Amino acid sequence: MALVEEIISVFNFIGSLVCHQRPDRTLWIGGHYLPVCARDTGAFVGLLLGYIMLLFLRRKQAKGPPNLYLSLVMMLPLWVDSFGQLFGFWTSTNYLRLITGLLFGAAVTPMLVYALSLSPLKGRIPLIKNIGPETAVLDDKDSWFDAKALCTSIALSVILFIAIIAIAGSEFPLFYWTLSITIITGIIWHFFVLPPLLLIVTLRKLFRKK
Amino acid sequence: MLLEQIIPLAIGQYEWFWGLGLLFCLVPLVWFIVAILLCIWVYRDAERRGMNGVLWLIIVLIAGIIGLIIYLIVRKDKTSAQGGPPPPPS
Repeated sequence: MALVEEIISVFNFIGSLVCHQRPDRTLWIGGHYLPVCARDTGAFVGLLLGYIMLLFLRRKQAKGPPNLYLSLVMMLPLWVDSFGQLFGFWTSTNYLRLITGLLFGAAVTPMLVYALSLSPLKGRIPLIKNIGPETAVLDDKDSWFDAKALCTSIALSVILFIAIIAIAGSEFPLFYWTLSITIITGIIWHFFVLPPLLLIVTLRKLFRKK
Repeated sequence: MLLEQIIPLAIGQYEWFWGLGLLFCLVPLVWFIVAILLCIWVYRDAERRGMNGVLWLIIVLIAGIIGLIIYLIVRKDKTSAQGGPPPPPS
């Protein structure tokens, strides 16, 4: 029991590095608050959903960027909701934060992987080199992650949203662990692995040139 | 301010976890460099395509990834910026 509490406090500590963790904005699942707020929960679950979608729905031979119009449609709600609240036009709700986060996360992953595939570091970053396009050409109209794939991401985001609000408030610990491990994995990859990796790969490339 | 809160917390509460707090200092630096490189790319690309580079640089700086996507949607084709392809020989 003490170990479980210790792991939960480590999760909360990792979450505190990237999130305000305000209790009124954080979902209570499985007898505990999640390590991050509702919007960040959505974003990190959405990011993972994006990677899973990439595994199955990316068009390996295509060179063009993910569908830009749908990516924008998926990202804008979070932006509008955040700034609307920041400037005092309205107060968001946890459900709104969750769905906007989910859509944003699911749209960011293809953009992030594609952007890294365009960079000179292409092929040097683990995971990205496996799921990124073989050749990325920004002007190419043949989309590597097309509208159909993004629509599937939207549909799955909505299903996940319904699933999360259905389990919110429940006391079943499995739900807490499933979501928390997803969130913590997302934080570690995007904040503690990817940026240092980018730095190391860039420095190695620079020094090898010399 | 944030670092003042993070580092004592990392070192005091979880001694074996202190490195994570320090590693976290790298994150803003790396993403800051990425953002600067992105802005430079947008400026140069917009100028090359006959668009207002400074305006797009400011938009991407303010709106971040949303601004970048809007730029990618509205940017002109390279060929139309150069006046279109040469006419075929008659």
